[in-house]
Amino acid sequence: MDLTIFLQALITGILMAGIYALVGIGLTLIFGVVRIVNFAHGEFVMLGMYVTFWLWKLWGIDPYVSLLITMPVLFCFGVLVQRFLLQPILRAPDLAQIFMTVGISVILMNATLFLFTADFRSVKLAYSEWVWRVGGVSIPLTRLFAFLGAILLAGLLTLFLTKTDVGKALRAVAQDREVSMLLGINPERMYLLAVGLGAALAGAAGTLIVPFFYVFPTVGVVFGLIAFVVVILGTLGSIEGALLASLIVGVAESLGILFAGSDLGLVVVFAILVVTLVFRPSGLMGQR
Amino acid sequence: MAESAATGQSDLAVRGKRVRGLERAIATVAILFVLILPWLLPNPFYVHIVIMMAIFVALGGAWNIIGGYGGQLSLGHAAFFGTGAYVSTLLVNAYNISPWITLWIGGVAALLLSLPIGVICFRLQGPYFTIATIGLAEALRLLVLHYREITNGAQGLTVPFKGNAPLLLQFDSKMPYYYIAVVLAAAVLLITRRMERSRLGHYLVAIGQNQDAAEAVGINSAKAKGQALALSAFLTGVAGVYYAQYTYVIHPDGAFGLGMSIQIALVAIVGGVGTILGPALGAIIMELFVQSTQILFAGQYPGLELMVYGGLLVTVILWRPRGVLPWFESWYRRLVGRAERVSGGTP
Amino acid sequence: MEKVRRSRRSKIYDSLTRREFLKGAATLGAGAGLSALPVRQARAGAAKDVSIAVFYPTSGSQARFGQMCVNAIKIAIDEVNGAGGIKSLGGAKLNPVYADIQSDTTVTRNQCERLMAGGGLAAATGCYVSTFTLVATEVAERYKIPFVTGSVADKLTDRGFKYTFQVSPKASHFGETQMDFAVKMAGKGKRAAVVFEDTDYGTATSKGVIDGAKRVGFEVVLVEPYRSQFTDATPLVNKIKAAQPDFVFPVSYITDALLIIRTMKQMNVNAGIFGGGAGYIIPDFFKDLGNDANYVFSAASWNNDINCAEVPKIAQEYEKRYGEFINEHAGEAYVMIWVIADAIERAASTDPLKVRDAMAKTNLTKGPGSAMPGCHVEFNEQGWNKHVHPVMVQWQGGKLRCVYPESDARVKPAWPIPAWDKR
Repeated sequence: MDLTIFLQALITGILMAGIYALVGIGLTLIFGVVRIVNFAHGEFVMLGMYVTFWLWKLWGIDPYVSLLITMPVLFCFGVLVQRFLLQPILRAPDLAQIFMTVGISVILMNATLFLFTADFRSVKLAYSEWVWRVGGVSIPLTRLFAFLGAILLAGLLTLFLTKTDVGKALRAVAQDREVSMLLGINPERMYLLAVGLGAALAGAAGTLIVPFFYVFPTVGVVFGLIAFVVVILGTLGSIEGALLASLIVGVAESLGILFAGSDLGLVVVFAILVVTLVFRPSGLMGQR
Repeated sequence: MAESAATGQSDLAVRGKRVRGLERAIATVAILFVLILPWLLPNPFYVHIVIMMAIFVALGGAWNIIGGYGGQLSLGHAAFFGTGAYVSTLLVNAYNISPWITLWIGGVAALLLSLPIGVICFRLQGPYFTIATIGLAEALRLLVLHYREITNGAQGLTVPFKGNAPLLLQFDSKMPYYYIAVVLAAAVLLITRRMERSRLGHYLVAIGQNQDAAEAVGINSAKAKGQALALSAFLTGVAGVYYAQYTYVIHPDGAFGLGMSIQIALVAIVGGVGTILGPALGAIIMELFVQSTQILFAGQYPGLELMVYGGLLVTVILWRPRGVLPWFESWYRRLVGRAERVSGGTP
Repeated sequence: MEKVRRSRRSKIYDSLTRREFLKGAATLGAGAGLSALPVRQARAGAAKDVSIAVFYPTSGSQARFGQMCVNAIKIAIDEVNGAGGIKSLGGAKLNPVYADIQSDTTVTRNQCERLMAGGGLAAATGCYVSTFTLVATEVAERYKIPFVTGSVADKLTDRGFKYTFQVSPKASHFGETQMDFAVKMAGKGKRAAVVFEDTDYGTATSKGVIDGAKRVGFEVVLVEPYRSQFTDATPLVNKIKAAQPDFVFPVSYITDALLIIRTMKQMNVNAGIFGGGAGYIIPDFFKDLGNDANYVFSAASWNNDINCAEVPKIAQEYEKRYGEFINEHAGEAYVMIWVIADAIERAASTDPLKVRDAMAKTNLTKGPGSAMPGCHVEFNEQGWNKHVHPVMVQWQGGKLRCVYPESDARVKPAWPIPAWDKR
């Protein structure tokens, strides 16, 4: 096999990993702090995409610029979901929590279907077609920007969590709820923050990929599934773990498509999930 | 306690007898009703609806064994459903075996599938388990799609049309389908009841309360959960075979899809997990809901039906996280209590 | 929580009691509720209507295609009724009963049961996707209602059914046509890459493509099924590039078709593209890709400019009403309504059994009911339109033109295909 073909697959995988990371970080944050597995996370990505699309379609706002709008919008949405739908069932049995987020997922998918129809939407930008060709490998610039944007946001989040008081409080609640309450931290406020941030990051991921993805109501499903794998592989609650895991998943998917078959990429991802669960259920970052 | 002069029995016993007598009468009426229901319905479409209800009672009840009693929330039961349906239909097509036989083969195939799945997934708690089941069912779906030489891939499989062939589980009229479905549903519920009272049932309750404590007392939780899953998978597989026979066409997205897994689980959850009758109630509610929204909206507003569906789900969870049955039961108890008073006993 | 019962016997019976009670009560309620549901049955409606059920997915993943078919059917219904309806029934009008099958097989089943079980239907049509049509025709066969379809699966008329009628070419024929055309334009010994969406349609047609390639002496350098509705074509096109084909034969729906073309351009893969219909020949293809759409070939079961007398009028009317050109399946849907109308006319009855017998004798060589490639609709014993064949179309200057076979085409193919950077 040609080296350039292999490199192309490798690079495609790495670029996509950035997006998976962003989505996965949001999910792991929500779980780490609130201890709810958010089955609607993929739909947050989808919402981010629709918001971005409409901002572009109605007012010509460039997607990268609209990050400044989509992130706050999704943040508020996440806060509302936590406050009214998740907070009441925090003490309910697991299955109630799972089905609540499943229900939210179904509502969101079908609300967009109802409002915007199943039509595939896409955004056309001046730079949509720009490709950087280096050594036989083609790198569409929109994908590169998405990757860089994702890394940037992940970095900002890490700074927030480690250097700011609020961020540290968030981590405290994730580590030990009771003790952080003793220290005067209000856990319910932290939950709102966590879900808001998680949603904002997912929405940002959506925004970043709109330049090269089609927007349609069920586009989030695959992202949700892959995010789960990333989060479990990277250990629930660990940001660094999610980053590392997304790299593994992204590259594995891409190479899996190359070597196993273009319809088996996801099977490779699920195989990773199974292997993780069998051999190291606590994930890469260890005990949890 | 006062004694009845005539029979020498205590008041309590007399009252108990009256209540039981009342319940027995109601039960007889109910059974008769279920038996003659299809003849009361105006046309075969309605019979189709109750057949689907019965099939989902069976599916929900089967799920309930591991999901409700076992406390292991599986969202991958379509793997068992699809395995049963596919194994059966492939055998029927390839070797002309009667579906009456492949009914059991399908169930066994699903049971065998559940063994490695159990081994992999039962080391996991709570949502980890759920995610693993989703991933495994999805992977199976993709593999079935991929190996199209064997499974015919996305084109799906059809049950060969034989007209009216009772020995091949095919009938012209819907009536036999209905009765078989009812028997299937009743069997699943009876098996659930039997399991509930057996050692396995008690083990599951103990594990559900506190797995560590249960193991400390000597309960092998992996074995218990594995048995529950095996039973659940077997019944789900059998129901899957029957579904394939009734709907004539199966394909990977429908048979192995996440949508089917969610539907199966929802039946038990909406109705009431961990109870015998929960799935029955859940299946009836869900099927009624699905049918009426399909009729009312009939494609006028895409997505509206499922939005309402999701809304219903969210509402049920917010309002009655344990499902509808417990509420129903307390209503029933009040009703019987009132009947009791009317028949002359003191409350 | 069960109360403690005293005797074992009453334990069992009490449990039985509660189970049966609740089940019975609920089923009772269900039964009562059901009879009250406003079922929109296919009634004979106004005094002289002839009811036809129309099953298409107008929501869900296939909504775009389903809606186009329904659009065309509306035109046909208006025209049939406007021309006097069914004259042998005293000018009775066609009454279409639409049901959205929501791109789902269970819904298809439910809708078919609902409309067919009550009686009152003379015929039915649908469902675009072969899997749904399989389900619908199984139900129709048992209720003995003639079902006319434009779906392409070979199996539809392979089951020995009496009530299924297929006006379109079979899936396995598309590959033959594509290969015959390709070898005619380019000669033998070329390298062919076959990629297809792992759905019903992709799987069914791909086999014909692979067999066809071998038959005309092409070297099949890649056979690659890919995940349906993927969102990134780079890995796939990467593999295509690695195989260095002269021609690519993709079978895709909408977004993957667009992604594949865009990515092939981005990665500078210069192979001739022979699409397998579906996503390659809908208006969205050109709307999204602009000039990059030109030169792309595709197989099709029908086109808006095939050489049958009625077709230009049909195309014009559709464009006038809906602002875009009429796609292959919509065109077929239009034709099917006329075929149904013709059968009912000859049967002089709304009895589905009689309509079926008349349908089996269909032999149309003129009029809108004959407007399929070959301009002759006649069903063989299995219910398949034996004169139909696929056509090849090509995007030329933003328009989709039929280019092969010569008998169906009005223009010549644009050949050779210039490289991406030379356009």
